[in-house]
Amino acid sequence: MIDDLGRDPLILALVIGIVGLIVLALALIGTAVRFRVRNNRTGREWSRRERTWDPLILMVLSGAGPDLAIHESVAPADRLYFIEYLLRYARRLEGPERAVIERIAEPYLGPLVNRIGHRDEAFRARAIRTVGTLGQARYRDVIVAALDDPSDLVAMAAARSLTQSGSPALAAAVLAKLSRFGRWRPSLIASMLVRVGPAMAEPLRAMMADASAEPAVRVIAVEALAELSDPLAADAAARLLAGVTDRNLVVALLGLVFVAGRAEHLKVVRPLVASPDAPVRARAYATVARLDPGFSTDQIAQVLRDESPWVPIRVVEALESIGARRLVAEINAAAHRA
Amino acid sequence: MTEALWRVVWWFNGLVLAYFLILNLSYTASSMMAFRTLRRHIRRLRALDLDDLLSSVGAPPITLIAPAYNEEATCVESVRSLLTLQYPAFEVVVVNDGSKDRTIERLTEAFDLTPADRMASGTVPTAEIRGILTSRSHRNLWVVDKVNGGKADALNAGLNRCRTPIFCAIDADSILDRDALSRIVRPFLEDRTTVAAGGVVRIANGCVVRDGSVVEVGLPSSFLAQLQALEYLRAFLAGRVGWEAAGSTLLISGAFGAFRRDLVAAIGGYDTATVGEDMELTVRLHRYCLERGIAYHVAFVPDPAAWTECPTTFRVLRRQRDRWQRGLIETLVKHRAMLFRARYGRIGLIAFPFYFFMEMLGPVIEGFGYLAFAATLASGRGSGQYFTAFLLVSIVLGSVLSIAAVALEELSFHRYPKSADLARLIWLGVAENFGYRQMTMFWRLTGTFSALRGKHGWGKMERVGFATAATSALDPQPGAAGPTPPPGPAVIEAANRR
Repeated sequence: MIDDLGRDPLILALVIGIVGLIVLALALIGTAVRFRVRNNRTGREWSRRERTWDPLILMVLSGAGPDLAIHESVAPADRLYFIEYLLRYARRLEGPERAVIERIAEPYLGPLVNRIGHRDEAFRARAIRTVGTLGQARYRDVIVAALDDPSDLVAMAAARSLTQSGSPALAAAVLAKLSRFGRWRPSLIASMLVRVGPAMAEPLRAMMADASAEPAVRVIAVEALAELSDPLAADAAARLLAGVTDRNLVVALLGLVFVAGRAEHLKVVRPLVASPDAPVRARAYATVARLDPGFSTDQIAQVLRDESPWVPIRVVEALESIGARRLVAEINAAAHRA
Repeated sequence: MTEALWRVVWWFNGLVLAYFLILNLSYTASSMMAFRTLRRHIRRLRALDLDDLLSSVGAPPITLIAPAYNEEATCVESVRSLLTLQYPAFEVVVVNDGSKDRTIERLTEAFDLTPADRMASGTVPTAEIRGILTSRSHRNLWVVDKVNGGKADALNAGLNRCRTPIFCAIDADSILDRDALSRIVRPFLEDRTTVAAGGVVRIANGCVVRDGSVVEVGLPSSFLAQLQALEYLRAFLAGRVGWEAAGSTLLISGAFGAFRRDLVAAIGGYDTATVGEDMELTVRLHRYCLERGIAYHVAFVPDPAAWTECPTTFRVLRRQRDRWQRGLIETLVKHRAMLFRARYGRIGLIAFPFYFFMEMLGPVIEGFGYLAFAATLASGRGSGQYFTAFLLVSIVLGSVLSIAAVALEELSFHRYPKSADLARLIWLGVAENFGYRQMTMFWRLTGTFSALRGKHGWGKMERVGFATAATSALDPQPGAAGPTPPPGPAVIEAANRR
C-alpha cells in the first residue's frame, strides 16, 4: 500500500482520511480529558470556596462580624462564583437574613448587570435571575425592561423575578406583557401571578373582563383568580359565561365558578351541561354537582349516560371535594354495574 | 452470466460505500449539532432555576404508567423508587399485565393494596381488566390488574385510567432520577404545543442504587454491558440530541417518555400489533398532527435520565436487538406513506428516510456488503489495499463517533465520575469496532428476516432483580433471584443481574 501511495490517488486520499480521523479521535480524547480535568477542578474549587465562605457568611448573618470580613475573602477572579454562592443562600432565606445577603451581594452585581446585554439569551436570563434575586430594589428598571427582551427565556426570568417580589405594582408590569408568554403553559404563569397575593385580584378581574384581550391571556387571568378563590371574580365569571365562545376560556371560567362560585351562579352554568363540547360539559356538570345542594340520583343517571368518560370523573371529583361520599359511592356502584 | 453477476457485485459494493458515507456523515453531523445543542441546553438550565419553576402549583400533574409483566423480583423496589420522585403532583399507575409470577402479591403486600373504584377516563380497547387496586399507604399509587395483552395493551390500560394532562410511560424495571419528572416536564411548560418529550436512558448495571435512586454511577463489570453503556451514550447524547436539534425527533424511548394524554387518547393509544410501540406512537403523533395542521412539538430532553438494566448475555441481547429491529420495520412499513412526502415536512423528508434507508435497510446493505467485499476479494477482482484502507476508515470513523459521544458526556452531564471509567469508555469506543458492531449488525439482520417471516412477540426477558445490602454493593450471581428488598435503606448493585 505504501508503494501505491504516490501512484493511486484514491489510496492516498484514504490514507490521508485515516490520518485525519486519527488526529480527530486524538483531539476528541483530548477534549474529553480536558472537560474532565476542568469539571474536577471546578468541583475542587467550589469546595475550597465554600470552606472559606461558609463560616464567614454565618458570622455575618449572625451579626458577629462585619460584611468586610467576607468581602476581603473574595478574590477578584471569584466574584461571579461568589454571586452564585449567595444566590443559593438567598433562595433559602427570607426577612432580615435575606436582606443581609442582598447587602453583601450589592458590590458584585454591577458587572453582572453588563451581562444583561450579552448576545446569548441564556447568559442574559441568568443575569436577570441573579440580579432579580439579589438586587431587585436597585435594578428594578433593568428587570422591568427585560420583559421586552426578544428572548422568551429572558422575559420569563424577568417576570418570575418581578412576581416573586410580592409587589402588586411590579406584577402589574408583568400583567401588561402577558400576551408575550402565550407559548408558556397558562397554569404556570397563573401561579406566578398568584404568588403576589390577593392584591392581584383586582387587575386580574379587569383582565378577565377585557373582551379586547386575547383569550389565552384572559385564560391566564381566570386561572389565577381560580387559584385565589376570588368570590368577586366568580360573579364576574358567571356574567361572562353567557357571552364567551372560546372553549378554553369557557372551561377556565367554569373552573373559576367551580372553586369560588355560589348556588345563584347555577342558572348560567346549567345550560352548559348540554354543550356539544365534552370538556365544557364535564366542567359544567362538575360545577353543578358542587354548587347544587339538590344534586341527586336523577342527575347521576344523566351523568353516567354521557358519552364522555370525563363527565362522571369530574362529577365524582366535585362531589369528593364537598365530601358527598354517599353520592360518590352511588355513582361508582352504578358505573360498576354499567 | 458470471460477468453480469460480478457487475451486480461491483454495483453493490458501490451501494455499500455510498451507504457507509451517508450514514457516517449523518452521524458526524448529528454529533456536531449535539455539541452545540448540549452547550445551549446546559446554559438554559442554569438560567431557568428549575426547582423554583416547579415549586409552584403551576406544574402540571403527571401520571406515571409502568407496565409490569413477571416483575416480582424488581417491582417493589421500582415502585418504591417511583414513589420517592420529587415532583409536586403525580400518580403512579402500575399495570400488572397478567403476570404469571407473584408480581401482584408482592405489590399488595408491600403497599397494602385494596380494591378501589377508578372510572376509566379513556376508551382505548384493552384486554379484560380484572381489578383496580389502590394503596392504603400511598394515596398516589394505583394498580391495574389485567389479563395479559402485551406491553402496548398494558400501557393503554394505564392510559384509560390516567386523569392528568400528561402521562409518563416508563419500564417497570427502570429507575428514574429523583428530579426526572421536573426535568422532562420542562418542554411542556415552555411550549404549550409540546405533545411528547423523551429523556435519556442510561445503563443501571454497575451503578449503586440506594432507596430507589441511583447514588453512584459506574460502568458495569460485564464487558458486554460496558459496550452497551457506551452505545446508549452515543445513541442518546449524539443521536437523539442531534435529531432534536434538527427538529426531527422520531423516537421517544418506551423506557422513559412523557406525552399529552388527550392527544395519545385521540389517536387511539398504543398500537398493540407492533413490538415497537414506542416508536410507532411517536411517528403516529407526528403524522396525526401534520395531517391536521396542528401546531406541535416533539421534544427530546437530555438531562432527565431513566436507568435501566441491560442484557449481559449474548442470548438476551440478541433477542432484544431482534425485537428492536422488528419494531422499527413494523413502524416504518406501516407509515411508509410518509416517506419523501413534503406534507410531512422534515419528518417526511429527512428523519423518516434516514430511519428507513439507514436504520431499517442498513443491516441488509451492510451484511450483504461484507459478503460482497469478501467475494470480490476472494475472486481476486478486488484490491486488498482498498479493502484494508476502507476497513481502517470504518474502524477509525466508528471510534471517532463513539469518542465524540464520550466527549459530549463530559461536556454536559459527566455522570461517570471515575477517571478509570472515562478511560474505559474511550477504550471501548475503539474496541467495539472489533466484533461488537458486526455482531449487533448481524442480529439486526436476523431481526429483519424475523420481521419478513412475520414473527411477533417480545421473547422472554429474564430479570433476576435488585440484589440488596445494607452497606455495600453486591455482585449477585448470574441467574440467581435477588432476595426480597428489605424496607428502608438499601444499597443495590445492579450489575450482572442476569
